[in-house]
Amino acid sequence: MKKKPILVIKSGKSAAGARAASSHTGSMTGTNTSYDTAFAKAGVIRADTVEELFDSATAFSTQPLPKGPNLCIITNAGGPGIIATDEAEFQELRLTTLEGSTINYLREKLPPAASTHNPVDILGTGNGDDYTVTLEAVLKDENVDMVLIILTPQGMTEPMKTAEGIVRLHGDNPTKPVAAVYMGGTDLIESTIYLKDNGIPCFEFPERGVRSLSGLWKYVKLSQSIEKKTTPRIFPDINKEAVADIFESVRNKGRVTLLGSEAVAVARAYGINAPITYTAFSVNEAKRLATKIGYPMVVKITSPDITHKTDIGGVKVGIKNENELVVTFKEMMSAARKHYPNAKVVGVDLQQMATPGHELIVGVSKDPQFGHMAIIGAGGIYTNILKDVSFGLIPVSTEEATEMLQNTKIYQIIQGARGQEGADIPMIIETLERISALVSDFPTILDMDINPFFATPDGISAVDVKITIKMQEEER
Amino acid sequence: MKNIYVTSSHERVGKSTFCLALALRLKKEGINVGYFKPISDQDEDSDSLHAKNLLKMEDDLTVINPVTISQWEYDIESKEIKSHLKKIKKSYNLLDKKYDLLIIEDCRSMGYLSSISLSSRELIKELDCEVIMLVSGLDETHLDQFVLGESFFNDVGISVYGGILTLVPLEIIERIKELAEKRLSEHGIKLMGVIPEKGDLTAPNVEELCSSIGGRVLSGSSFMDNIVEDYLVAAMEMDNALKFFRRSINKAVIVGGDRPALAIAAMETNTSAIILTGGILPPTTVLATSEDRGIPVLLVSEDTYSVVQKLTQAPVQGVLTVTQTDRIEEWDKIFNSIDYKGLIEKLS
Repeated sequence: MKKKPILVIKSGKSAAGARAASSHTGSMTGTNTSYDTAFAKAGVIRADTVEELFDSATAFSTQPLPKGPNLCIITNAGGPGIIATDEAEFQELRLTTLEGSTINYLREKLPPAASTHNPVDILGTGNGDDYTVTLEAVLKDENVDMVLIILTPQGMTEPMKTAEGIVRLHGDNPTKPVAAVYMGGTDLIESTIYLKDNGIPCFEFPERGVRSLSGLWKYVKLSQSIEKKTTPRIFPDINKEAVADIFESVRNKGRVTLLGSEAVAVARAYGINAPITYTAFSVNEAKRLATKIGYPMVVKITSPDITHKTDIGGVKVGIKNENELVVTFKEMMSAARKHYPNAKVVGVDLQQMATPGHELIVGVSKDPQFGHMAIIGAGGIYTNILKDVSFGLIPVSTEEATEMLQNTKIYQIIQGARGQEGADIPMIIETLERISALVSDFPTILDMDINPFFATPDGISAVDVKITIKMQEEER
Repeated sequence: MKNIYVTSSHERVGKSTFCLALALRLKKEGINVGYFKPISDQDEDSDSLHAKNLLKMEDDLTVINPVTISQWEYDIESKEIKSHLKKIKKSYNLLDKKYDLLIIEDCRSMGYLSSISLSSRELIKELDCEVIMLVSGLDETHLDQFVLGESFFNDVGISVYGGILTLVPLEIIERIKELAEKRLSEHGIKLMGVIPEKGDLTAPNVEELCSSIGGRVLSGSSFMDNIVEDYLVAAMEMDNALKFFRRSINKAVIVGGDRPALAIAAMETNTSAIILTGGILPPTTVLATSEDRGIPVLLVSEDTYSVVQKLTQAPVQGVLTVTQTDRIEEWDKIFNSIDYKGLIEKLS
């Protein structure tokens, strides 16, 4: 476990900001996602604003780390209490349910109109004693991991006495982090300074107080997650030589993008289930190769220059016989000539039919700053619209791959939502790990997408694999 | 010794470069080789000039290329045609005496000037030579051009020695070669060789590209010999830019001068040059990156569309010049796989 938390502010989050950062430094900045992913992997906490950076730093420098996300808010004004509650939820803290004994105790000690549930509202009439009685009780509560005290100056309010109480009680219970929000401008300067001087983070607004505490919890979560992550799995059944040969032959042909059949062969060499695919250069060759695959089959146009094949009718599923194959071959060639007159069209890929299932995407892209970044999520032609994907830095372990998949919405669906069949989730995770192994062995891969790959209860099938490699190893 | 007449089915199949490379190869083998281009379509023919320099010919350019007939001179009088033929024969006789072997290059393609009876077949009949025909091997359909070309010459009693497929995509080279050997032998045509479409043979370098588009070199001037095999207009969203850039190699990226971030992204990938359009100077960081990565940045005043149009209408081709030592070496290697020895034996 890392001993010192690292807080980072990274500018250039928006598209325009990234452009400005790039022009300013003369190098390509990674995407916002890649920074988030890399920070998470390294256990670094990212602050969104300079204010948040300092607020978190203040909490880290004076408060212990919380054991859990359970926050209790004590306030003498309803509005600020609810604002803090909202912010706590946004920051993924949990507004804890107080123990029954605590609630009963507070009911005895506080006026009848006070709210003794979290957020605890000691009312505008609350004085210094009300605050200290409440704080003492909730600090003892097993359900509470951290406390935020909000104070607004009202008729009976005793800011300094309250501050003294907070300092004393925190001293008595040093294992639970505490932060204060003193919302009252110049009236509360003296007590605010007193709190800060005595190691209690104190802010003017509720959101800042919540974020300072949530920073502590984020760090605990990150550290726990890093501890859980073991080293990447080693797969004994891979064929490195086969992949090296394919890449060499592709480069010798002056290409950096693999044909469908080549990309499928690379996937298969790393134990990723993909339907057998052959490239046919002519109608006669297609007829010959079709006998090896058997009907029905899938036919796809093969050209390093045509990336969105479906858009021009370049993918046909369920070709039943030789006649259909010949007609399809010719139709696809005409379509390619019409839509991409200058494209180099090699022929067609003939592919075994795969059992359809949930459509997922899994892939890798090389980030200029952080290296290879893995992606997993909802696939198919709507990937770019749904944007339901999650990222991780290569290499990924089983735990990381699992976490990545769990972070997507489609994860709920592939478990078998609303009576639908689920999918072989361990195999999906293993596929991501196998891609991680492939890219770790061959950093020459710049981009790799399997989209879609079909996930069924019986396994997966990578039906469309795309790979781009470097021409020379020394390239960036 | 007879001479070699190099003709082609179409323009832009790499004929001039092939002629010069063949001449250099034969010269290396100890043959006193000269170059002759009977007719050109431009004054001060650049092919002839390159040949004169490369082969160190002391002859006047008007001897190496005696006649110019452009497409705006199809209304030529018949007595002028006769005088042109006379000039051609005079130059030919001079050079033929001086050199062991002449490489004679066709103007444009075999059919050029047929309607005024000054095409390759009229010239070949006047000259003592064996004929080689170049045809682009972009795909199978181009094989037909050999058969068509052969009958074009056979009609007037000229036999073609053999043919060469040029610019064959590496992807299909083995298949095309096999197919060409089979189909051409059925028509009695000898396939002498297949030349791949490779950047280091025919693609221009940044220097040639820059002079063709009239660019100003802002940085990376030490890397002007980078080869340019592809052009890519950068108008995509930044998020997708890298994926696009990575799919193309040895490319010149055409990008508006007001989008420096895209230029920087392009320089992260296999890029030969950046063409900044609109006359907008980039931030100095872009220029520093260009020097760091060895990628020249060229500035043009035209907009992106105009530059693309220029490059599409008149694609820039790499030529063989004295300074192109790498390209000369690559061509020399190509001749290891071209069956020209039989032709030389036949000539002598």
